[in-house]
Amino acid sequence: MADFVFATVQYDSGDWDSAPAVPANLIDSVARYTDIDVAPTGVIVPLGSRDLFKYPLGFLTGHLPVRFSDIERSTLRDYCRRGGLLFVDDHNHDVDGEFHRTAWEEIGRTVGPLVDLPNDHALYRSFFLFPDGPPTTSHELNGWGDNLVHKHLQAVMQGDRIAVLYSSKDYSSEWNYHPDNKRFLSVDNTKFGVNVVVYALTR
Amino acid sequence: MHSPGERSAGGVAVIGPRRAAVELLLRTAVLGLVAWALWSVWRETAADRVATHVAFDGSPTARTRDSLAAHRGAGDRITWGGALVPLAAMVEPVREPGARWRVSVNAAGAIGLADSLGLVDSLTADERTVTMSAVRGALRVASGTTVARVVLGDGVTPGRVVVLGGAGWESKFVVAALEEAGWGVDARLTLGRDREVRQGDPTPRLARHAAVVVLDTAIGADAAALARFVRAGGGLVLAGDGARALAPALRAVAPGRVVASEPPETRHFDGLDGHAPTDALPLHVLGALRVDAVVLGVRDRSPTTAVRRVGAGRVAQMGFRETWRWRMQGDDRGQHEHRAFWSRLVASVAAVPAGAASAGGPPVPDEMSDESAPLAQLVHALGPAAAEPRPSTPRGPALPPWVGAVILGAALAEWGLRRRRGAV
Repeated sequence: MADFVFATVQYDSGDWDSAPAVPANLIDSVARYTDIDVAPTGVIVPLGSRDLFKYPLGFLTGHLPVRFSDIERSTLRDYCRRGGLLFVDDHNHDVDGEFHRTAWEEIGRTVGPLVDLPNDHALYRSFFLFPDGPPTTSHELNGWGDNLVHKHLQAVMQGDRIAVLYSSKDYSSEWNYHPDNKRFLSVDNTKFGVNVVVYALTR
Repeated sequence: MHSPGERSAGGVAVIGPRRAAVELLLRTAVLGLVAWALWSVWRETAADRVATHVAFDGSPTARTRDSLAAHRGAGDRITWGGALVPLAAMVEPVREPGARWRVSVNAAGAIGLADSLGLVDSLTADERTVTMSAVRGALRVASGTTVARVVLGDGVTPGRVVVLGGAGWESKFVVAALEEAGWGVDARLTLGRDREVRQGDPTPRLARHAAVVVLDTAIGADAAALARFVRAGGGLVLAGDGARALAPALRAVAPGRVVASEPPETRHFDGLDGHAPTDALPLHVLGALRVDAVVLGVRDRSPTTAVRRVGAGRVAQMGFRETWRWRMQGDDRGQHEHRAFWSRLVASVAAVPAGAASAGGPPVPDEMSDESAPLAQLVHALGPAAAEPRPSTPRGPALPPWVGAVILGAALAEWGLRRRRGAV
């Protein structure tokens, strides 16, 4: 069994599978840049399932309103308390969007308040260096969604550890392509995803 | 003129044999009576020495106990009684952070523990051991009216721990468990291609580190330095894949070697009802143990953990893999148990700072002297408890009055006989 298995978190409400190419793309990047023992395919794991605890890093995205069930809330709370990290990305790139408002609220009442993550946080140097904080996405630069370039990611901190990492930058769109197409990019835009994985595995 | 029984010979009075015998008899009688009188007086004086019975309503202090023992040694008759119960307390230093002493109590019933500021903890009838981190002054352990008092000394403040491994869940959660248990952790987790994640200063040094945890076989040139670290007094834990100890320098210090490895898929936490959490962990089975290795854990008759001394240090080899699943997939106690498991494993080999190896600590003032087993110490000093003796009846004088008259009369008679014959 590989040490790292990329897990996409499935929740009852919303469209949890809105970025189906992201897992394969990030798995490719982790294998390409590191020696981490990574499984070649990801898994889909229900948020309300005990199976979630087999995967200490989970990825959650979507466009639609998010409403966690009681069992999903309970599982997520326990998951974060034990040391799991949930990476949530707003596929709308819109702070007035339904996903952002509802996911923000659900995370706040389930795990804790989201606060701005400083741009000099260890996350931005866990593998590749991002001295200016989270890399911008083409959706931000093209003025789509809320027409904002978000300067920070948000996080729920437990001690000095990130329990929930929240992005309004729409990495789900940015990374949602087949890994073979990286050859058409002058700079691989999934490198920050490698940082997220390495941070989760080492901090 | 001579008295009867005397005759003169050359101007010197010569007494007859009868008179000489009477004088000798009188002289002997006087001396004998005087000796008997002295012996009688001495015997009565000895019999009248102080007889004291002390009824304790609680444990005496060491000062009281020693004072009574001194009187007893001087010949006074000291007996004691009271409702003291058997009670003994023992303190040993703990090498884990957050707990400086382990106090073990042997007594029946509930126990209260207090320091100079008040009640610290209590033990039920089922609990006999407690770990403590902060105690002011001596620790008083009370069972009923019996109170033991122990001095805790300085305790142990262990050094930091180095964790060496690859980037992965096992390394991440071992570091987390040790940090949550209070250990300071320096770490170096490799990512390959000369990339690694560092935390603190992960170069093992006895002045800074108590132990090193190796979770991966790929430690290369560090192996020889780790072996030197152990021989100089440091602790080493070869755990998980690190238990395979493939580097020759580590093979030379390991308690044994891995003789079989279970595939991870053979164990899982689902349906673990009634079994120990470690039953769900895949295992590198240890074998070919050295003669000086001590097995600390066994599963299915296969050693899981073994330790041995190497030079001035100790090495533990632990075969469980993916212990992080215990924390993430175990029951509600899993996180706590995983943390305690790793803290104890590291503590079992951790180097003790110089000068802190014993719980004795510096000399303490008399009022804080050790009274760890009050009843046993009292019996040792004063003998076993005794019933209170009945009051003695008044006695007459030590000698009958006629003894003095007889001595005086005999002495006068003997003196008169000698005066009559002109002797001095």
